[in-house]
Amino acid sequence: MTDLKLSAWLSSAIIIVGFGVYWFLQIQSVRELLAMAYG
Amino acid sequence: MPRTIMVLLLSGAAGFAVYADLHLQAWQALLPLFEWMETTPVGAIGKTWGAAFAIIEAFHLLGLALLGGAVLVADGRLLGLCFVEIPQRWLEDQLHRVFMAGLWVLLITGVFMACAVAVKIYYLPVYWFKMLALAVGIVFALAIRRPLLQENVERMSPWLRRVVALASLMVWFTVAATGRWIGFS
Repeated sequence: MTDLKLSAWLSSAIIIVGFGVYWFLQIQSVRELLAMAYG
Repeated sequence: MPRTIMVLLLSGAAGFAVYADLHLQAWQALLPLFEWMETTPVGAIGKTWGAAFAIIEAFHLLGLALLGGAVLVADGRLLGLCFVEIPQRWLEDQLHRVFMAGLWVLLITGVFMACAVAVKIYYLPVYWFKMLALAVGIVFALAIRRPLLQENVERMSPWLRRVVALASLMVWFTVAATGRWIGFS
């Protein structure tokens, strides 16, 4: 596999996992706020 | 393997900075810069003349529309969802110009808007996440995605195309969403 393809796999995986975790945590915190406010 | 090493070094450095609290030290050191930004003529205009801020923000949103439209069409084509009858390479070349135009508009208008509300955004964690996403998006688009798609895309693994398109959509969605979030903070 070429350097370009390997770096594309690696950077894409880091972005998908990193940003996916960020949005998951943001959605979780909103769910917790809603649960505290409305039960 | 210069690109792979660059990806590993950048992600390792970002992880180490968070682990060692270096990002907090950098954040504290940047306060004088943000205070100064508000005192510049650009900051004063943006702060005191609401119409100027609104007009620049309108151009900022148009820049986002240009960039977002280019990303949606280019990555939609990579995923095989739209414009499949148009050659990938030709479409990619045309959309890259639109993407770069949108990016320049976003950066120029963004600096103006940041000067107007510099101290406010300095204390917003979402602003810093947007800057991180923007930096990641620019490096990914210009150093990885663009050179990759200048090769023969039809001979590339379909999974690699899908993963690159998904990562590109995710990073620019985050830039747009966190940008609107700043507006509502």
